Amino acid sequence: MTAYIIRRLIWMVPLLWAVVTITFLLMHAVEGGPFSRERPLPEAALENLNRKYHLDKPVISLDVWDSQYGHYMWDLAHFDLGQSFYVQDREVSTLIKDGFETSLQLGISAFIFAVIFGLALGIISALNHNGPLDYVGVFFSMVGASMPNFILGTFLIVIFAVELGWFDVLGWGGPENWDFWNPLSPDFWKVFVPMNWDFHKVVLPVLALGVLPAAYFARITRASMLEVLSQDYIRTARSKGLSEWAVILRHAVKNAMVPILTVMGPYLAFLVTGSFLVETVFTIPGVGQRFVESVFQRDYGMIMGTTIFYTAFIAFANLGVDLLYAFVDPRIRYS
Amino acid sequence: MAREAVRPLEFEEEFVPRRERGLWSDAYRRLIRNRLALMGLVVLAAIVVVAIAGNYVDAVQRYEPEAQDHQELKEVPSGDHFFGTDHLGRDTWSRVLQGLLISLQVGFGVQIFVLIIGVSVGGAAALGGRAMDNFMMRITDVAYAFPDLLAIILLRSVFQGRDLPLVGGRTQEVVLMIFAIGFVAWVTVARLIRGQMLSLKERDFVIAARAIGAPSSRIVFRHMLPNTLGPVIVAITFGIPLAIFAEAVLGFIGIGIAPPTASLGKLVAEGYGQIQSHIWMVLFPTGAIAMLMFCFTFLGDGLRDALDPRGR
Amino acid sequence: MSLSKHWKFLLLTVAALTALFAFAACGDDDEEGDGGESATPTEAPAGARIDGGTLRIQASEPASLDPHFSSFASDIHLQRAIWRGLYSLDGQNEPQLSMAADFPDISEDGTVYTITLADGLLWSDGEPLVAKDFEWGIKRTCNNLVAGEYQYVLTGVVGCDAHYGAAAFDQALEDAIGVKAVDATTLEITLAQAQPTFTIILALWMTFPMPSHLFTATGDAWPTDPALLAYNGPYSLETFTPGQGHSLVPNPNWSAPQGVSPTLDKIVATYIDDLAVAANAYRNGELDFTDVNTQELETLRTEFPDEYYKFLHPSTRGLEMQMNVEVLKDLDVRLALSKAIDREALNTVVVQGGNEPSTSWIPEVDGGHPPDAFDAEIGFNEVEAKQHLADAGFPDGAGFPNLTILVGNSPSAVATAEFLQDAFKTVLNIDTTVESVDGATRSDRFTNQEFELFPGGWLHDYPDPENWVLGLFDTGGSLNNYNCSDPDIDALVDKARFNADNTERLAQYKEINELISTRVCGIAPYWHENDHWLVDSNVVGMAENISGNDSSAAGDWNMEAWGLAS
Repeated sequence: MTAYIIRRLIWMVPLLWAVVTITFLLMHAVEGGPFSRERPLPEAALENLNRKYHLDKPVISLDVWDSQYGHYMWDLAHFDLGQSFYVQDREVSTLIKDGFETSLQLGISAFIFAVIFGLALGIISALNHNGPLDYVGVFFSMVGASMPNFILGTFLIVIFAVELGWFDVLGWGGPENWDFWNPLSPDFWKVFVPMNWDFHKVVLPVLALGVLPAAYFARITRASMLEVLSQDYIRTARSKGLSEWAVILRHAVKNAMVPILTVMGPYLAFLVTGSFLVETVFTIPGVGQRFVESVFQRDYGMIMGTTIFYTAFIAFANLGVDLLYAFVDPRIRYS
Repeated sequence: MAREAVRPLEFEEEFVPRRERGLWSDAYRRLIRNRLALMGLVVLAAIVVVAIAGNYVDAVQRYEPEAQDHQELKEVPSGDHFFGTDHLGRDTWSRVLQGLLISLQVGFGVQIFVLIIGVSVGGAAALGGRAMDNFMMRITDVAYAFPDLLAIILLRSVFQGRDLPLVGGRTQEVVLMIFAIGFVAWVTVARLIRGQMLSLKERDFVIAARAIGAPSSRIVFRHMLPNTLGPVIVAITFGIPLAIFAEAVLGFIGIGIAPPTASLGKLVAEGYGQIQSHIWMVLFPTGAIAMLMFCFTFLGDGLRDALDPRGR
Repeated sequence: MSLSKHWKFLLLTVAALTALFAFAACGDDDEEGDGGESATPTEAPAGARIDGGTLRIQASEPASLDPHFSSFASDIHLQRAIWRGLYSLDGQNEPQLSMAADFPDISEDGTVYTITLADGLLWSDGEPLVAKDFEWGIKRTCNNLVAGEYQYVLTGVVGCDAHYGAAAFDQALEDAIGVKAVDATTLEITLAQAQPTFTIILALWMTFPMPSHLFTATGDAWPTDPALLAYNGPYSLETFTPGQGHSLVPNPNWSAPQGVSPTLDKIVATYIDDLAVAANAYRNGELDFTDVNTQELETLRTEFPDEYYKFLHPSTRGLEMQMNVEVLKDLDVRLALSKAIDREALNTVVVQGGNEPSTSWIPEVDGGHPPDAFDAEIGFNEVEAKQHLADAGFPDGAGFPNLTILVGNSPSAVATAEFLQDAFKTVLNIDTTVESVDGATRSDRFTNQEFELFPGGWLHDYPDPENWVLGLFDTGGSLNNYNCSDPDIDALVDKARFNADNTERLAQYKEINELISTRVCGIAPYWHENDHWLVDSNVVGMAENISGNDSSAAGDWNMEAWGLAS
């Protein structure tokens, strides 16, 4: 197992290198650059700007170290993600860190909501098979899985914020300056204190983002539960005289969980990295929105930085999920 | 009872012969029996028919999707304009139909692309020996590691405004969209096919075929591929709504199909700005996307149950 | 699962949902309302303004805090609140005294400006504001390491272009720039030639002072932490969070040259680019001020009749035509295209009546003509349009090449292109292709002159007609990407460029405007844009500037006047 983990970690290095190189080339292949403006900049200004950002060098050339690619890889080897080409004088790493704090809060909240709500709905549906609750469950998962999250978000805003006034439209309500990478600092734990959250700003974005995964989890849970409930060992448990609750919780749910875990992992990654539409609709300063904007602004520094960050994050998340899977299902063993 | 257990051969012809059941007819029967999947299939077929008719049959289309009527801006649905009109006075019904066809084209197109690449890569990996397998898997890893949506946006940005040889106009737009989404989507199918092929390689019938000297190509196409198709079909069916969704997102952020062609994503983007004043513009395309996704999801569920009733 | 039971339930819920959505949308009237137009929201009842309060506004994220670098309106909006130059422009675009004690003492030949600073000026951190700060400010703008995007406005200052255009930083070149702090309160600027508009330029952000006591050289990195900067404007920057917003508090050392000091406790700006979102936030009471989405103009006008304001914006948009393209070299073709555009309809359909249809390139308020001045020559006229096309050799559009209309990807840009495409087809029977690309690609193509038809235009940098012409319509001008090359225009430009007689100069620019517009030289103007704002009824002091000098909010050239009434 340890060998497996080490092998995976080592493999990440060339993987990241490949992703970085491809992204770098793709990025420069897009027409237009960071200084393409509606009102064109004068020649002299462009020359100075290009010089300032090393854009006057070739993107990639045989003399690798004198190319933009070379400069970038050199910096990257020193863990320097460089500066943003758009937000002047800001480090890319700072911008990503600040944005990721928020995206992580949003993503995890939506994930928790999706898991609790989806699983509960799926279990209830399965237990109430063909009954009214089942219809509600299936209907919800049908609708939820078909609604683009930005449309859902907008409808939620129009109905619950503007018309009914129950919630806010702008911004995110989680605690600011959350040091998510440092469990030793007190700032890390404040995220678990409900008082630090402004629920007026949290409920709608979490719903908008979490409904689709919730619907998906509900469907899978329901199918999985139905399958498990028809198994022999459930009948055995019941005939042993166990209470219905014990049967459900201890046997059915636990065994139904296994296939669900396989899908949860990628979903968590998706929620954290794919929330940019919800971030736009609710004006939440997360990383996703930054990435999309940076593509349109041709902010090369940010594009590279966010891609590297996401790739590394997803790679680690996948590794984590694979390990979790092995932990949960004793039949799986990695060599 | 002992007497019934023995059936003398002479009586065979008296028994009604049972029908031959192959893999596909079995699956088909199971699919039909699943009400929701059947509903999905029927509605989908209806949508496809309407979409095609709505773009080639005048009586169904009723208005040109590009024709602007400045006297009828943002009309509510009526007998004349079934879905109302948009901000430029164009008939929403015809535009939604145009968008449906484009979305279906993109959805299916992406899966065809995915199938071709997936079979090539997955097949090569499974059958080409250890080194080839490693190489292909590394490539797959890299493609898999790319954050999906971000890669699609980048690819779409690279492709925008470029010209392809031979095709032009709307076809080019659709093809470029297919490439952008397809480049990201092929990984799952490739892996699936590789996995299937690898396990099939060790199966008796393949070993037997090789033993009697059947050429590799025949083994692959006649014996192995048909057996991999089950899960692949399921993956593809689920992949279509994902491709449609991706196109909707691209249309929403502004880098979708070129104007004035309507794609469902672009219609949603146009209607999004008018939600407070004229909700019809967003309601119908959203409904169309929702319907497509319902159908494919249930069809996919049904296919999965039909083709692979053992596991998930 | 039983299908029939399932279906009934489904139908009921779909019906319920639709009803719910319809309810959400139904309170809104999409009849064309006529909300408050061009009113100036300074008329709060006397005595109603209170001391204090927090004003919450919508803004766009600034890319940079450095006024010597910036070109984005969002940046300048913020910078104008926290720094001020020697002079400032009032609501009538007249230069007023700001940090200077008096108007400049100009030498006989008009090339040397001597300016004395007001007494007792201080930075927000208590340090004295001296002439050296202004010297460094101008030198920083000319510094090639900083790559200031508006350096070209200072092209008249001796040595600025030489320093900026050099391939590497040269201290000698910087020292040779014609700006000198003679002593702590006297500044001397030397121009290469007399420039009557230079006093106006001294009110612009690229000449703002630099807190030299916080830097070692003019080219040092500009801090992004507000605490590391010093301010001489009415406000100080309290917080600046990229992606989120910024907040301003009154600057205790503000010199109040016109006697106006901030009454607010704080201004909080939230960065919102999606105006549909901002509108919802405004409806929900989370914003006191926001820019308005033209897609929702009618609805918002009817919803907030007393809070909606339409102000003039010093910009003109039109259909730019690449005059290098063979078929567009013919004046008849350009006239045909221009006359095929029903500007009133375009305005109604695309921006819901929000802009000012116009056939004049330079807006009247900047020294041009009234919007309808050239309607007869180039305005909408179906019959004449067809005739021009026939005269050009393409009767009823026969044989006319398929031109491409290049636009961005915002909904209104695409709608404009689609409208034009339809107009050309209906009136002239010619086919055009719409190409929608993202902003950077569009700008790139424009700079590289890779376009045929291009809805574009101009927004003034400062309120003078020369800003609408120089570099834009003279042959070989750096911004003349549509290749307008007209000897009559060139001759007039030569005369007007350095004409010391202001009246004659302005008359010459008016003539140039007529030539540009009637000869459709590179552009067929179709409207002047307006700004649309939603301003809460208890906000006072947001007065419009006569030519819309506001960057991003009404009266943001004068934010010290903003206040709340309750």
